[in-house]
Amino acid sequence: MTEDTPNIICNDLTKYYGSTRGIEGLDLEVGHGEIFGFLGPNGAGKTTTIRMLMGMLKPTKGSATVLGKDAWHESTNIKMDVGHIPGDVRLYENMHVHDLIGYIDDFRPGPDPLRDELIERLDLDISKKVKSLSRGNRQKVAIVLAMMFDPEILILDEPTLGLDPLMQQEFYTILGEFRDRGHTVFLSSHILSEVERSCDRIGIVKDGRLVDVRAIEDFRQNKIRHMDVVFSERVETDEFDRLPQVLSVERLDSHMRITVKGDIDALIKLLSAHRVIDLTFTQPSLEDFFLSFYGQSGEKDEL
Amino acid sequence: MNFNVLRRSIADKRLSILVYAVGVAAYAVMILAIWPSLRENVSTLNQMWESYPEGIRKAFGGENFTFATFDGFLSVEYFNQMWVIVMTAFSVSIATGAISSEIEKGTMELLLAQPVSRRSLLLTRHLFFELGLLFLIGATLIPIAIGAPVAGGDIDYMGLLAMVVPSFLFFTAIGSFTFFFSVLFNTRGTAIFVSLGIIIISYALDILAKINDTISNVHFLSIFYYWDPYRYLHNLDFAWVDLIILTIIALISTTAAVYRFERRDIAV
Repeated sequence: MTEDTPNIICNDLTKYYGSTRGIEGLDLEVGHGEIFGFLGPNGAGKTTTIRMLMGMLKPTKGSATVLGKDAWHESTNIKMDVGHIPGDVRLYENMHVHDLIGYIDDFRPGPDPLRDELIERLDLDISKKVKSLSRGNRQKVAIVLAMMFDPEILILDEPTLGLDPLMQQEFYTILGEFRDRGHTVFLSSHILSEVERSCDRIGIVKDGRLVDVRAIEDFRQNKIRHMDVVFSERVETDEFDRLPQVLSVERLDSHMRITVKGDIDALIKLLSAHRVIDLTFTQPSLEDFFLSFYGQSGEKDEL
Repeated sequence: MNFNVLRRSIADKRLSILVYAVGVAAYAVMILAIWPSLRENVSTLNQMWESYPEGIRKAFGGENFTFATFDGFLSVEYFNQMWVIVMTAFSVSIATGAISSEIEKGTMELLLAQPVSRRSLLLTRHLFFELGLLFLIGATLIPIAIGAPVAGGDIDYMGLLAMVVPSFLFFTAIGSFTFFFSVLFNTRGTAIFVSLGIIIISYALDILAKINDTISNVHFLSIFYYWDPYRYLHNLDFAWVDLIILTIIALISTTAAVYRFERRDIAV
């Protein structure tokens, strides 16, 4: 495998469970030193794709290669350099956390360079039994198990489930450092803000098909958001309507709702000319996002 | 073979295996303790035994069986009854716990996310099962070897030693096809249900075929057809064909389990 070869390649990757579609015709490449977000609603096919990358599921059609090796036929070799967090973390309930970490550690030769650092940064108590851990602490254990050996690739399925906001922030900082060392992250999520703040590129999957892949900057520039503003005096909607980024302005009871797409700098400058009492800038839900980008049918709209 | 998985399996199951070992050893000691009082009434017991229909005698004692000898008593009271039940329970428990239980609990996904092949994982768990079998066979036979002279039982030590081979192969065969069902199903309950169902049907066929001559021609379909402890304890006579058949059952079942495990999806 050369430096130029993408770390993850999916070629017409398809999985059907009997007649039920998992994912269909997925073509995708993820390069070195990249955090790739795989975004889609529940049931879109994210977990199916990740399970095929991890060699848990056999593709119905097509193939996936990880680090230049076939994800199904050479799965064992790949896992020497791949860390994985499943969507539904299941651990050995009767083991102590330190024993579990030791057990997983022994599958690979040599010491784990990040083990102690991760335990400290995630504030994980390794003396406890797994069965006594909360949902969040189980997730921390899964993070340590997946990342402690500093793998070449991380394949993560909804990795922040159960983590509190502080720990989520710490986790994303760790992921950023991981990427800065030239490693690759493939991460699935159905939470738009999570993908937006951590990923370099996103792939959007809907109803078992990849509908778009774009750089996060491109995504940000085209994202539609709602801004609810309360002014101290009456302000006319026309001046906001004239801004090219503003799609619509509505007056609702005591406040004004401005729907804006992309760069918000001009809008903020215009707002600063008035006395603003309150301002909320809501992130769109995934459903809003799909509606704004792809319409009801899921077909990509012109941006 | 993966030593890490083997070490972990031993650590996880050591208490359970110890309980089984204490159980089979304690039952062996109890049988030894009963023997001195029974020996006094051997002729009465034999008369009672002879009064049973021939089919019943064949079913529970085997050819040429007699209560007059310690090995005969041991065969009918232990190796053909409680010991088979306990060792079958152990075999089914370990084999279903090895794969289907981990799939059901979701821990298989954690395990297979590590650099260990499915083949290696299954064969390591199979090896662990066989080591456990040998340990339990030892825990059964050693107390008998030590206790028989104390209890006044006349035992052929070579016959007792020879028991290791058929015992090991018989329960390896049972464990092996249970491993196959463990790989086939996603839940441990289903694997246990199917495996025990086959074992019970097989046992029933063995008993019925001994009692009823009309179905004796399908007797060979029962795995219990190949289990005759009295033969080894009393005559030190290896039934080579039976042992080869048990080995073939174990090999085919294990190969099928590996084949299926390497090709199946792992999904919780």
